[in-house]
Amino acid sequence: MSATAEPLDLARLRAEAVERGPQFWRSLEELADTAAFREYLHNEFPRLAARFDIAPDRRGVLKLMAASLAMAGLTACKKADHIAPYVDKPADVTPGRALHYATALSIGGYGFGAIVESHEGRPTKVEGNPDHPASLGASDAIMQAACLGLYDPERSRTPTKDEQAMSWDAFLGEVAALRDEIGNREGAGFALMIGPITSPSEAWLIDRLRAAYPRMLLCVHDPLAADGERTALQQVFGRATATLPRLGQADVIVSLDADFLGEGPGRLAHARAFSSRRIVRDGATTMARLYAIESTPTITGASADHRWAVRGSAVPAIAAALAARLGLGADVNAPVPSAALDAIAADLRKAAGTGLVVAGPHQSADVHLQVHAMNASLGSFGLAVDYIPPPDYRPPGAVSLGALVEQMRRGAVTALLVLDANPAYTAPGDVSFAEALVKVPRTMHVGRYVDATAKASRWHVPLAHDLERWGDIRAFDGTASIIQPLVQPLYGGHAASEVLSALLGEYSASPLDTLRTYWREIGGLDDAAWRAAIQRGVISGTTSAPVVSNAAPVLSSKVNPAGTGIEVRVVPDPWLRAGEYANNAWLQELPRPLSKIVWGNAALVAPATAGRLQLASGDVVRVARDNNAIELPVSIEPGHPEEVITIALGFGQSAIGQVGNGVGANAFPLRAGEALWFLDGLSVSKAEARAAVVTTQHHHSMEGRDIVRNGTLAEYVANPTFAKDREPAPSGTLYPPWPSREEAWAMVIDQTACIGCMACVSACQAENNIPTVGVDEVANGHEMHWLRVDRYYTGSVDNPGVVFQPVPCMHCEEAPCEEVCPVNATVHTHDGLNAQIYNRCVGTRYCSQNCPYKVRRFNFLDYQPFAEGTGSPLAALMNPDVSVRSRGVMEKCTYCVQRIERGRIEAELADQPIADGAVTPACAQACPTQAIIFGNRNDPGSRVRRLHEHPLDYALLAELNTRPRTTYLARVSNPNPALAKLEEPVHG
Amino acid sequence: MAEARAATLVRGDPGYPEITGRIASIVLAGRLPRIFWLGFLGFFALMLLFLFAIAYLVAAGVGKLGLNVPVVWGTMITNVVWWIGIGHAGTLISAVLLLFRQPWRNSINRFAEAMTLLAVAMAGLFPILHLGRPWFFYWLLPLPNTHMHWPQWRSPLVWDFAAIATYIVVSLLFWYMGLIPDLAVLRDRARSRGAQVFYGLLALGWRGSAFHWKRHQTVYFLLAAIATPLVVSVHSVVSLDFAVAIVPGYHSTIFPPYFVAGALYSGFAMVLTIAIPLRAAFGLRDFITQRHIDNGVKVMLAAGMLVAYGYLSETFFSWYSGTPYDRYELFARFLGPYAPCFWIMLACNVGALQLLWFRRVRNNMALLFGIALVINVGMWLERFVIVVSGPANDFLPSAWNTATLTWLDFALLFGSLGTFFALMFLFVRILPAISIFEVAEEAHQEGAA
Amino acid sequence: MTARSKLYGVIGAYREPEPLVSAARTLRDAGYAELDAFTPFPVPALDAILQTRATPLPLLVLAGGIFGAVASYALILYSVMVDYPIDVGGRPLNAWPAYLVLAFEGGVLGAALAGFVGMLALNRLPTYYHPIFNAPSFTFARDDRFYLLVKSSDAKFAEARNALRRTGAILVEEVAP
Repeated sequence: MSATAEPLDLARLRAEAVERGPQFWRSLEELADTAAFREYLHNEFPRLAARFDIAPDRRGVLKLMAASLAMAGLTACKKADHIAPYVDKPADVTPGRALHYATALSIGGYGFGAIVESHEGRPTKVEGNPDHPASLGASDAIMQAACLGLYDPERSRTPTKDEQAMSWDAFLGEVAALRDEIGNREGAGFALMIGPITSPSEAWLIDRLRAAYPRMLLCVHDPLAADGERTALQQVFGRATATLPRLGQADVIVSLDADFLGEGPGRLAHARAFSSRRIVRDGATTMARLYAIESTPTITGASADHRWAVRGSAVPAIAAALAARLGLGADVNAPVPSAALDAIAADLRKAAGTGLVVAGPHQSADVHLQVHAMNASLGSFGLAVDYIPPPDYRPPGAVSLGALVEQMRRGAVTALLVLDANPAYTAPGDVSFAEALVKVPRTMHVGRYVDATAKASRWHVPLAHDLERWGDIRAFDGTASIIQPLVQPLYGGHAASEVLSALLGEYSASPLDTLRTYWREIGGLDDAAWRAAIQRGVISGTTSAPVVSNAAPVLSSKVNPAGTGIEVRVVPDPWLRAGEYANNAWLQELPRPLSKIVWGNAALVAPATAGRLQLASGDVVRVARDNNAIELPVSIEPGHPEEVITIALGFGQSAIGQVGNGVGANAFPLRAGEALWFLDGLSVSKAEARAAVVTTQHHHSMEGRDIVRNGTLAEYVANPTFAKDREPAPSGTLYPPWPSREEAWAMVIDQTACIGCMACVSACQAENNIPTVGVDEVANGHEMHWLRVDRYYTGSVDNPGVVFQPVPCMHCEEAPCEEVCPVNATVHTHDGLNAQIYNRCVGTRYCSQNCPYKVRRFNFLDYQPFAEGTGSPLAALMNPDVSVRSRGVMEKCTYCVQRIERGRIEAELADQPIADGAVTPACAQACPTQAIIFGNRNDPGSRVRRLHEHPLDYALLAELNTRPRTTYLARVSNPNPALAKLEEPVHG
Repeated sequence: MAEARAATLVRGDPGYPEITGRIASIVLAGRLPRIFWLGFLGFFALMLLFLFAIAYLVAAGVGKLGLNVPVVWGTMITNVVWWIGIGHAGTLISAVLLLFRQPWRNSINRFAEAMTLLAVAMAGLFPILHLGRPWFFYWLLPLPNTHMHWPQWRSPLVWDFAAIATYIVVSLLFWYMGLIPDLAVLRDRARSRGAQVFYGLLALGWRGSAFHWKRHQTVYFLLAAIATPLVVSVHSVVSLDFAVAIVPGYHSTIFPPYFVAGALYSGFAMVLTIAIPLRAAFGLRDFITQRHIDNGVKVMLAAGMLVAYGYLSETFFSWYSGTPYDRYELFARFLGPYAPCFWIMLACNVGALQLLWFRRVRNNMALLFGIALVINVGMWLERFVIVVSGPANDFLPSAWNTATLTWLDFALLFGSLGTFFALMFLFVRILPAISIFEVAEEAHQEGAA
Repeated sequence: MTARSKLYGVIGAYREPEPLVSAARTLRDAGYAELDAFTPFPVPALDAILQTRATPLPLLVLAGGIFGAVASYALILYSVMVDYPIDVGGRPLNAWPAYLVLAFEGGVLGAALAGFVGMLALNRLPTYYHPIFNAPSFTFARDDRFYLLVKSSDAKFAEARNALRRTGAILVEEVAP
């Protein structure tokens, strides 16, 4: 929209914005109600504008903004040029008919292929792109939350200089001045800081920039990066190389502190590959075996057949000890029982080429050398593991954050441009970026939020969201994709490439042109290939070819001794990452897979350690390095390594937005020097205060009830129906059965495949307009997620087994909830769904009372007020096929009835029965391991029917005779018999 | 013997004019003791709090109460059961004792009936306030509406609705039937024109014809005969709200009788809580005599022991059922998050009760009053424990949670108490608290005997 | 004759129920038919003497009860079988154990209403004007007198005054219509 150069009083505007609470504003100019705004209104909403002229009172202005906000999507949906629909043709918008576009989302700089659903130009839902190697049709919580991030009313909305609103042109003027300043001295004194990127075109632009300004400083600041693997493989291969484990090929996997299911750009693909070797289907008598040695509880460890929790600094010794047993180097004593290591080594050797050892990226180079050597000696190259050139952009000569700050402090930097990074927040404790920044006369920040760095910089420019910009990006295996916009920037954001082009003097280069140029000239894509690329969402032929090399393994002889005393293990929060997603309420309120903590981080400690330090959950501890101290509540986690405290990053920001500010504590300052992931020498003391750790699950034992049934592969082979056999004989029913002539929709959840990643929960939230309720309401037990993933611990508290159980509505055939509803607000549909009719519900809550699975959720308060005149951009986020529930009504999982009906309509148009797989609920579609199978039980050929007849299939609480339509496949694990006598098997 | 009864029931055998005079005077007297006004104002203040709390609840939503998933029912339901229980004692006194020709009921049945009406009115309020969308409560009625749907007749809540509605209507009719002759008395004794017209209209022109008396008495007894099974059915139906549900701790066949006994227990406790101050304040010791109190206490004792037996059998069957869910619920009740409520409840309902075995205690009005209060508290806690402890620990441990009460829970409870007593005061002021014609008949029969 | 025909009847007042009862018995034995008695509380002894017919009220109450129960159940059956049959928790449409509870409550309500309305109807209540109140001293309750009325329609009405005096009425008054 048209911007004005006249500066506005930002302080006043912020005050107003705050006092206005939920009513958000589209841009500072609008808030200021300037001539520009009136003009803009005239152009866009003549009628409204007329009214605006008559009644220019504050309320009128607000109403107007509400309207413009609600239509923000529409205005933007003068469709962005040249984008191509994925499946639907023609691309013209048919009201009521969703279009789907292929694009990619950047998470940590890496690409995750996505198919985005767009209603009348409003992006509402993200799904994985089946053709994209990093998502394979699956998605995770961060992808699901992308649309909320797009509409986030608190995203930065206008360029500013010294907190005064400026226009983009004014910024270009500043860039021009910068170019004049550094032009005649080869860029000396200019520093460019970027976040982690894999974008070929942006890399190309930066390379051109470095060519133009040889002496400029480039700093790639990735607060979550770890260099161990890179260093080690550099040493082995003589050039930058990345490991690419092929979990689908591996029979025996040993994880040395590697959370390959939950972390890393390949997590979704790895989860799919891993589960493909784990799930037990008819006749199968083999499955892969996973040994996990980890320094903090992860979902990878939870899926392992054997798991040892050790302090992170002890892993090198374990790696060396294991290597020794594979005939590499000398044995050392390790915190894992020697007999266990023997058994693991034997297992690996037996598996030969299909044995795989993976190490966590944050482990030291020594560990990665050991691992490479072990895989080499197992002959797993090309089978269970490959090596590829790393997809991310790490040009030689790039300086570290520490080095850059040093230069800044010495005054050697006269201009700094920070592009999509937030060093003022993510810098380690010993790198005082903020005070060094003061010494830089010309500072510019380009980012999505007015964050700590933006506030510290003189200039700030809003960065466009992935769903509103052109760009390209590589996946973990090197495959490149085009990022295509679904809407024009809602809040006037600009793409990174625009900024880089401007630095190159190409002030008017549009991101699309830049992209097209790069791919035509360097990428060699003609128009047909380009069109194919944006249709499929991947650029064919860009996948990195494995490095063929017979590089001799380098065996590191030195083994760092494990630390002593309390060790602090720093981990990225699974959803907030380094804090860039902290203003996303969906992610804040999504329970963490194991701790189930929401809205904050905590100091996770082992029960034994808590006992020794006399800490109880809720006690506040003070963790300090030098003068950097944080206070946060303790949460006692079974299976946590002893004498270790785990703290998640990404919390405790002061300048990200009303949602994320002040949530949790910021652990970045605890980092120093080389110690980025395993911190020792910190002082840990118990503070007087107490603070609640808000979680969504309060009881962690199954109390001996047969809820998650599990057994070993051996048990299954011996007796495939072991799960059913444990079931009490079903008591008969007095009622004549209701005929089910049409579909009988049913769901089967494979608990062997489920890794507890929570993707299904966030997908459900995105699909079904489920509100977030905030930390206080969650503490009251009012959370609204229709689907929850229960996590139970089995066995000892020190090293328990962990089982996950997703619990959606069971859609019982003899539903206890329906019988007790006094107003027929929950009844059965013709196709066997347990339907909830919101506008009949008076809210007696008897149904929830009588639901043995407690899957019903109640609108205790008005969680989604969309009253007239109070429209926020978030209204545009709502899925138009799902009604938004009012206060005082009950709601619950519907099996995504809107998708069922869409499938039915299409089937009826084609005059066919609904084909198996034609209807997929959001949870099943998102699941990385395809653990959720949905279909029509009356169709003899359907997968769900076959799985329902599978020997492992059982119904939850079958003895209640509720006849659930959602059933479970018992969890099968594959422990090593040789270890059985050594320690109690983890599961069972 | 006859003298003895006369001596204890209507002391000093006053003549009918004296009887009617003394009872009617409470209503017709111009001035009342200061204690009356002080009490009334106190309760009226609570009544205002009640109105405020209701307004806030409806405006903000039930999320402001101590509720969550799984504990979706809390103090609102507790109050329903508690108030209905109180109502039942009134009906028992007036109807059942009438059937059994217990003459001693005559002097206390009138205000017992009033107590029933007001208590049931309170009870009727809470299920509505408890709704997520209270303004749609009438959807539980079979009314033609645009939703094209009917009530879901299988739901115990619909039975509940029907039972409580019927109970209110029948109690009202029964109460009014008995009131008609006394209204005629007031009509004829009233001095002021306004009072004459007011009572005259209500009295329907009653003139005491022998023919009228016969029909009146016939129906009066029939209504009593109807009200008796109704009382039992109402609290049985209320108990079915729980017994029909599959929640551990709810799903128990002993609930109907156990709830009825509990109703009598708490009801008689409330009768004493009201009767003891009433007779002291208005000098009605001649009508509400030691013997009334004593009989009431004995009924309370019997009901209390039945309730205690209920606790025992409930505990035993939770264990004997053998299902892990019921057994854990039992364990949680004893040692779980709500255990304090449970043990206080036992102390009040079973512990304090035992004092009533002693005549000296039964003769000590102050002490009796205290015990009655304690038992009222205990019975409220009993219902609360039943309502919340089941859902808090049901089938899937992952869903277990407890809800903490808020100020609103207490505002509504004590507000309803205030409203109840404020209205009670108004009743005593406007209508004869003691059945005039029945006491007169009583006294005459004793005189004749 | 004309003067008398204006009257509604004559009443005699007594201080106690017993004299009233004996007086009523005397007059009836003397052949008086159109009698009525007014007492502050029910005096069952009078029923036999005044030959009050057995009232149909019990039957009325029974009928009301049956009607209430049947009507309730019928409404339920219509709604679940005819008007809106739907699968609720897999339960049969006619879940009689549940519906019986409602039928019972309906019956109770029907019976109670029938009884109350029937009583008022048969007693012709409310009647805000009645000649008996024209008697100068008549009051239902002020000083608890017991009255015996001989209506002017009675064949032996002429002697009624003296007859009442002879039964020891403390006062005898004419009742204007």
